Amino acid sequence: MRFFQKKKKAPITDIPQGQARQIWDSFRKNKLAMAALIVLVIIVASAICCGFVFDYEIDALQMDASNRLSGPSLSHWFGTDNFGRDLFVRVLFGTRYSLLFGIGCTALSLLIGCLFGAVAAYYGGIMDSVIMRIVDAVMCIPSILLALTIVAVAGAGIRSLIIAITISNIPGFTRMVRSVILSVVSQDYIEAARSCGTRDRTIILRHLLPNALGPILVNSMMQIAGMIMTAAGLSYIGMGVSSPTPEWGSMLSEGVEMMRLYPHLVIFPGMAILVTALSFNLIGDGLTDALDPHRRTQ
Amino acid sequence: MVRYIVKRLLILLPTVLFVVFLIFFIIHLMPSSPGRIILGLYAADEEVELLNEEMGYNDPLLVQFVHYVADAVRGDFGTSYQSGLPVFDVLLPKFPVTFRLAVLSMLVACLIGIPLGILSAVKQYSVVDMVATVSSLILASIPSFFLGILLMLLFALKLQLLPSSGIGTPAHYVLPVLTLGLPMAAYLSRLTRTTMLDTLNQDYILTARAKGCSRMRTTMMHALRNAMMPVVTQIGMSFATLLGGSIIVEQVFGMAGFGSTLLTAIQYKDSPLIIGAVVFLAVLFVLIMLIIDILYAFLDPRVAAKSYDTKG
Repeated sequence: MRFFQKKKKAPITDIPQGQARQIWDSFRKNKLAMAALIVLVIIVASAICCGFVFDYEIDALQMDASNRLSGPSLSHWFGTDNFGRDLFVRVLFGTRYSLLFGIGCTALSLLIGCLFGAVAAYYGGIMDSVIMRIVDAVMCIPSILLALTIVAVAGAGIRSLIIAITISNIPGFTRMVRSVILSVVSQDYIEAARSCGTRDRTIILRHLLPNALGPILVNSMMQIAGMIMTAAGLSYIGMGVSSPTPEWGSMLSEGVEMMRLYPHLVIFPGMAILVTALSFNLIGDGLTDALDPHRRTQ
Repeated sequence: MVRYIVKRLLILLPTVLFVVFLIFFIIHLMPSSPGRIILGLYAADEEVELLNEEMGYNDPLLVQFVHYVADAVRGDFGTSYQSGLPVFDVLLPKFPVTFRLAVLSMLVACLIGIPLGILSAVKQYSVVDMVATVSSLILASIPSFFLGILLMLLFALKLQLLPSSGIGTPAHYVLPVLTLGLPMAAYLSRLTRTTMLDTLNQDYILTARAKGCSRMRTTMMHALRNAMMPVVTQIGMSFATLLGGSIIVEQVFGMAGFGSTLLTAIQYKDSPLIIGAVVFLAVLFVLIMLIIDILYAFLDPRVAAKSYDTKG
């Protein structure tokens, strides 16, 4: 009976917790990362809701010659641009494009990178050599240059921008996924599954990827900010989304000629990119720390 | 070591061949007609078609590829559609601007980033560390063109201290160099901090301290050399990226460098120029990586020993 009671008093930490729960608990203690998460939630919410409050065609695109280039005021929080369009509404709608490029391109590159990386790491040998040599070769081309060339081939526009950024990032993702999976592939349970005669496809999909998913997702999180900045950069030099679409990069390039007198034209879209990228980076940092067991115990 | 270098140089060949093929393939998907670009909008369709046929543009992709490689081996990389000059006569005069920009930016990045990283690691959680961490986080999230625009607004337009665009004088380089160098400095300082912290926790540092080595000496002589390995790799990679990736910053500051030329080539669908430039950059990239690996062997005797064992 005494023995039984003693067992009941066991510390709560002994209760097995899911990995996700542990990561969340340690992430929550990181104030900076939590603040970034809240900012990001606001950004995502405004991207979704801006369509309900404002009319895209009227508020973001329609020109108003009587109200050109006014500075920030109560009626126009971020001021108006060269064509009298409200900058605040345009920056709000721009959120949609940046999130689409950031998250969409990351998800696509990750999907394809996972495929190549997993195959290379799991089969090894010739398969690995071929894939990695190709990856090395593609990585010799500066990624911005590769993206530019692809945009030139596919023509400027949202779809070709997504394709270009995705393709130029696949090698990096392949390499990252491969290195993560290599560390999982040598585990005993994979050997066990193999010895049971499990099919390769089942092992890759059921055993390898789920166990490697945490580090892979966190590493991908760190790429989103970069993708957003690349998309904005390509639009800035006129090789991406072009005006009148309210994309932050193209808004900046529209404003840059008049920024001496009207700095608000570049400050607000630029700050929008900065804040979005910063919150993705901070969350990525927080997740990396939370995932690392050495730092978690500290 | 020599055998290792030769072997690496031999790998260069298929890598560059593949890069050429890839770019060839991508550009071939582009709906364009070199005859139309050369002869202009008002040329007759028959003439355009004749020129296309003459240039081999209508041949299968593989045939064109083989012709290109055969010419390239003899040093002929084709002529630019826009100017009619040989590709490298167009590209090489533009290269010094970009090269200078890359070297100076890298210098700024190293001079700021590495000492700051060491300081942050040695005095972890101090004010310096906090300031360095926060500023590097912000710099990592600011796109280069926006940083450039902000610097231009402040130093060129408001304070009127520096010129905003062009390449005439050394003063023209200050803002672009800062634009490229500062984010890289931020990244290097973060990397240096992490690797230094890892190294400072190693047993041999403790041993050195126990034997009476001063803190300064252990940090500078024992830890730094080992912590520098990943940093050196990153410096090389960043440098290679700068050579081909300063397109946007060159555009912001109106610098007529390699990147601007390349951008015009891409906009005009000047494929020989694009392919030539990509090959040039890819070869540079591979060479820089090779130099870094050789540097590695000097920094870390273990690497040299390993390359004798397994590769040499």
